Amino acid sequence: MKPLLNRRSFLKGMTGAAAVGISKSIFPAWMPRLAFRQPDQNPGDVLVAVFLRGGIDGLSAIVPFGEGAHYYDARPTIAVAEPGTGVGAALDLNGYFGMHPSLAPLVDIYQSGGLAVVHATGSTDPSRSHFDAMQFMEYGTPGDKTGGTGWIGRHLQSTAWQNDSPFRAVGMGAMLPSSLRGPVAPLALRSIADFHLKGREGELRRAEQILAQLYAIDAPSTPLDTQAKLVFDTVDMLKTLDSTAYQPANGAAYPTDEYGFGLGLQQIAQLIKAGVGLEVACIDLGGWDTHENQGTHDGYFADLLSVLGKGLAAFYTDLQDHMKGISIVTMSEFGRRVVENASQGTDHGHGNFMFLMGGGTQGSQVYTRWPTLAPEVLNDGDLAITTDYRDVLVEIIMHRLKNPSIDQIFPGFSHTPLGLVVPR
Amino acid sequence: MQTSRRAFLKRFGSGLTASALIPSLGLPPRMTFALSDIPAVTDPTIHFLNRITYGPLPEEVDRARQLGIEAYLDEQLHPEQIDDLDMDRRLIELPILKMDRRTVHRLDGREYRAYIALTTGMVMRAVYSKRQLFERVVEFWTDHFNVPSAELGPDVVVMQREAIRRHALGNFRDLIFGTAQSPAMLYYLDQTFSDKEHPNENYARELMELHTLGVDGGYTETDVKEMARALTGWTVHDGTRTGFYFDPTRHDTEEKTLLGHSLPSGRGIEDGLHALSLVVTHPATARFICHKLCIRFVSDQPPASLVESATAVWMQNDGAVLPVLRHILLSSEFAASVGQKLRRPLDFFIGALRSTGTEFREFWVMEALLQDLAQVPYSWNPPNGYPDQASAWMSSAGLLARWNTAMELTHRAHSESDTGMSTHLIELIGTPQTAGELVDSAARRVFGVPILGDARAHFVTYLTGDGSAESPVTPHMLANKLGTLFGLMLASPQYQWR
Repeated sequence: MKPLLNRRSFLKGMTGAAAVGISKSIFPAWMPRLAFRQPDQNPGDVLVAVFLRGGIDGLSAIVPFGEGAHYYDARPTIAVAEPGTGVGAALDLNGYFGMHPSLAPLVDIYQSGGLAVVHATGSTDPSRSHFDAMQFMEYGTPGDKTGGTGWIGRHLQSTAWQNDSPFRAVGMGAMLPSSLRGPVAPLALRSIADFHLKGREGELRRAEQILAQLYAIDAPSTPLDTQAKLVFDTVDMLKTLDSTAYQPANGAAYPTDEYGFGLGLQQIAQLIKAGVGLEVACIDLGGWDTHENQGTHDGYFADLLSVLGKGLAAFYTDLQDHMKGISIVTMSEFGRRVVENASQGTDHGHGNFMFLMGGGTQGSQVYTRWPTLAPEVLNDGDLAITTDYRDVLVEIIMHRLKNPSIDQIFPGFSHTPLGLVVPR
Repeated sequence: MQTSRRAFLKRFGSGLTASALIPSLGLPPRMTFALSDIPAVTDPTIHFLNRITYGPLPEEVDRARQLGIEAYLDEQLHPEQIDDLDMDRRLIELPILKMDRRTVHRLDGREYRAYIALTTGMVMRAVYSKRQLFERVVEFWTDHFNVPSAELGPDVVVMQREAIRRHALGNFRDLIFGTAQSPAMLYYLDQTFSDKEHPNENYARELMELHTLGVDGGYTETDVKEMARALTGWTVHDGTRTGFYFDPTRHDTEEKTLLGHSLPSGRGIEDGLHALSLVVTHPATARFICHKLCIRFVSDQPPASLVESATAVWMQNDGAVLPVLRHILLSSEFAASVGQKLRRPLDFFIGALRSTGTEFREFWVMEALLQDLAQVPYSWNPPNGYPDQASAWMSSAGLLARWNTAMELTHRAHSESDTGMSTHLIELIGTPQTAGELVDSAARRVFGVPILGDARAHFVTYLTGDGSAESPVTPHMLANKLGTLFGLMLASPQYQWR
């Protein structure tokens, strides 16, 4: 068995060997040039939806230190200390809530009005199952998983404008989130640099022609054909973007994390700047299912949270000049139980926080109808939900994305205005 | 314990794909796929083999035609009677797969070795074993009882052999009791940390939601908590032979009420055994597992009639897997489901290896391709296992990865170990005289039968330019086009469905 060290050098060697016989797509002239319709002027913001999978502990991320004993007694080994108590203390936001120190890069953005926190929010269905809760949240229909389309998918379906760009809706990763399901085919994109068709030297052009015929990309009639057409269109457009040479603006530094979160955000930024018709980008950061040893100001949770904080801050900084046309929102399927468990971790809970960032955000506020952590008001041991996450999304959809079709996106939902964003 | 910490915590991260997590069940009923030009539609033997094998090779097609579907199925349903010496010989390279728990845990570099052996072993067995259906069923249970191998590999090796492979065609009860007492599962879902003061609900919840009743199986949040209490004390101790240990000092001996049944006070391990029996024998479990089997073997939205009849067979046979599977695979609903399953990336990959006779000389070459395809065996982090439905896998990035993998495996047509793999396509095609015959020979390797219609014409066009199917095979074709011909077949829409 070869030792691990060999791997990198081996793969390098393989690339060299492969270069002899395999070449990258060279965008054949026979392919019709891409002529997609984009709205003449961007009618609304670009939406960036961040899903924190696994159920992030909102009580450690946005610390309700003002709760005193209700918080600190429930979490003897994992609570984050009150602001001003030295290393590892929470960073005060408004005298009652503080950010986990790992989120320090976001505090300036919060103070300058570019970020709002919503707390005690979430999907109202009581499920503590990851899979159900995610599906409810992403379908936008708590308690009902029969619809089969996601809230973003229905948004794209119901806009008054047309946009045929293959980049209209992009999910960063190999697989697409359920929120994007719908009749508008979203693009799954892992790496701009690697999005090429490869094949044998001298045969690739013919092979591409045959593939295009096999998948009938001139008149796609099946979902697989549609995906194939997306691949061809995307390859054609990405040739103009040299991702290896990308330089973030304003000194922004994306984290180089093992989850690919920093890289994913950077690629979204690149697509936004390139003006390729992007309307919605979805990106995930997972790893939040902290049933044990989650740590406090340092440890596992803190490390992961700093990926989130650094990533969002870099994205915000990089896109400062575009931020008035971008809305960023984060969500997670549920929060975690108020009381820590026997393993210095937390079990599945209910209410949680969301971030809202971007040009339209009424920042510098923790928006909440805070239910408190008093034992008698908890929801089955967990933080109650007093703000439906759909109310947050509706504000963005109506006022920033400029789509009034809320009854199609969240059927049967009646919206309570929150005043979280300034209309575009 | 400390070594597996990151494995637990990364459960919802994904070193592999950092990607979306899509539930494997309950997906949109309205999402159906109009299929175009499926080549083997009219051939029931090929349809059958497409589902119970990892891609039918000519010898399997011959055998199935000779015996008939039912007799061939019965042969496959008794894997112990199928001679698989060649497979056993290949597995000698992976001795860790046969070691008991204590031996595995004494190995240097055991996590890394276990990861490689599990991944390689899965692919090798799927490619070479004559017990194809058995390997398909093992894959089903491996997804069902998913535990990623990244850091729990040594214990996954043992669970895989002792709980899953041993009982794959046996009784469901043994699969549940086996996995419930496997250190891999006990660590992965935090059962080892549970005690009477602070019961950890993780395993209890996933046991009911994913392993037995299903999320709509009628249990409540209180049932989850009661199940967690009943299982307190179930933990791991390296002093026992299997690693499973019941620690009475951590067990909650008070009375519990689970699914309407009372578990009396004052008991020990019997509490957990009783609780497991309640969920194993519950009608919701029968239905949930049968539904899932139908999704795997029949279609993404299986006919309700089939789920019903399979559930009845399950109940009559007290959860014996074999008769249920036999019922499903011989049903009229199965016969009518031609081409309705999208190959998962691993199906695609293994089928491609079988068709092209590719052998890997370097693990990392294979691993890199599996990573591109986003389905490395034993590397799905959440407990629900790799998704089983087309809607989860149909994406532009996924399709491009299939195309590029197909080309990577075939573009040389002939390669040796300097590339980390070897392929000799020329040896697989006989002696075709015309372009049409060459396409048909290659199709026999890839699809099991020659294909018809537009797709065949496109492949002929690729070989001949403007020529006809009657154009003679030229040395140029064999030297420069044979690999890409195989690559195009594997990349075609027809190949993605089975």
